[in-house]
Amino acid sequence: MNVQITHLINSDKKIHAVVEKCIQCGTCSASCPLNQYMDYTPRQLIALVREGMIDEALKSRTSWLCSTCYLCAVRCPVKINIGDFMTSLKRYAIKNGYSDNLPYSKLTKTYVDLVNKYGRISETKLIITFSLKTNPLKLLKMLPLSAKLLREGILSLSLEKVKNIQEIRT
Amino acid sequence: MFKKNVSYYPGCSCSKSGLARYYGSSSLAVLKKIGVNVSEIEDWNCCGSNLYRTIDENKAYLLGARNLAKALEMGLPEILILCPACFLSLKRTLTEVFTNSTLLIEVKKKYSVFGNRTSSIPNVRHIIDFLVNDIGEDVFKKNVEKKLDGLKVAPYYGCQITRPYGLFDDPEFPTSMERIFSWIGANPIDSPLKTKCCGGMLTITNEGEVLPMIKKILESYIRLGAECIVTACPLCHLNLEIAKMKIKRTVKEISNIPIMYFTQLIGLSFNLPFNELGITKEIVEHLNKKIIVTASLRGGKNE
Ligand code: SF4
Ligand code: SF4
Repeated sequence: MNVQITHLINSDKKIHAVVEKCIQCGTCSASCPLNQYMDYTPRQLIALVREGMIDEALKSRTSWLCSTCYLCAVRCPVKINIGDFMTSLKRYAIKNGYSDNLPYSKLTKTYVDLVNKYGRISETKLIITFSLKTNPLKLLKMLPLSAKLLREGILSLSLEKVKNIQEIRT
Repeated sequence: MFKKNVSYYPGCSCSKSGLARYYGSSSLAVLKKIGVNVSEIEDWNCCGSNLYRTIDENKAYLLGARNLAKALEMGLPEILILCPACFLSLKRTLTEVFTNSTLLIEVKKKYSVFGNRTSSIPNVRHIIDFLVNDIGEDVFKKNVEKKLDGLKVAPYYGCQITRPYGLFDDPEFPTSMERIFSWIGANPIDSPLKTKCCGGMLTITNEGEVLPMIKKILESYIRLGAECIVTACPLCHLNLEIAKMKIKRTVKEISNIPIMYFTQLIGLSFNLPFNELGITKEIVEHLNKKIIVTASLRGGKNE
């Protein structure tokens, strides 16, 4: 399976362009607001993929900590969009079963399921569905904020479905 | 009088049942007062956000394209968007559709309006860009009824309004919101953290890592003397509110500082009804204490 993924990633044009252009200057790593929590810095992650250490790269938590704030992207001297590179790696990790237990991966799937079902999402529904799947106790912790939002008439469970839902599903 | 027709993409957050519904309603009220005729895109759907793109990239662009197609069908190719994430998704969709020929063929097959010779290319705009560069100072100022003189406002842009494309302002140090504040008499506070990441969706899954980041932003604004923090993004807004709740006990100054959408603040200066703006009496009381020179906000239309 490893060889297959390596091949897949190597033939991905967008990833290929990143690996090809990067001069390993480290600007992205220095700019990243989440760098201190990552096991590999963004620059190192690119180096891993370049060296063909795909398994290592997909196991890393780095891409899962990327918030896609694109600070790296606007500072990169060779105009690489590292945020998008991170999104691609997440996609490969999900597809190949590297991230089944990661909360963020579950959140992503919950989101897509809601969109495929209704055409839209509601934040409240997303958070509740996700928390029930992962950590129901977290819902309790969110009570103070929910109470405030309820008071201000902001919290709502309703979700307007897209009328022509067939267009979304096909 | 100023007149202009545009289509409007609310997106899930700013729609009537979303968490940022007052960002939506206050923006619509402000635009109406200026004379912009806004038509909501019919039967719009999810923008094909980055979360969706993480699972299925191609489908994400098709979702985005459906919204663009609806705007074209309505004959209103200029699309106003409030949520920065939706703005980025639709902008990205547009770029992808017109640079990836396989995708373009698929989109044209699904939404024939794209292949139509007579239809124009969609023009995806963020509301800040629209207000500053299309409406402009002169037209805007005609609608200001109450100046918020002296109010120290801290603008918080977050990331995706200007990044990665940097379409209408500097990607790291934008100043468009500050220009708007100067038109309503408020004093903008200049923080180096105004486009720092709020943590985005990570607050749901990695609170331990991102909360310190948001706290830092809030604390910097307090140190700089902010009397009101203003955002232009549903997610920034929510994350700031979460951080505010968490540090309220230890950092006393924060508890009174309202966190508002920039269109709510504009609405106050346009003298629009508080209920349309979604502004509570507490907030107005607080702001009244801070505004020194001109007429107070008390007596807003619905009081
Ligand atoms: S900033 Fe750009 S060139 Fe420098 S290490 Fe990061 S991706 Fe490579
Ligand atoms: S886009 Fe991701 S990798 Fe780049 S600076 Fe932001 S969080 Fe870090």
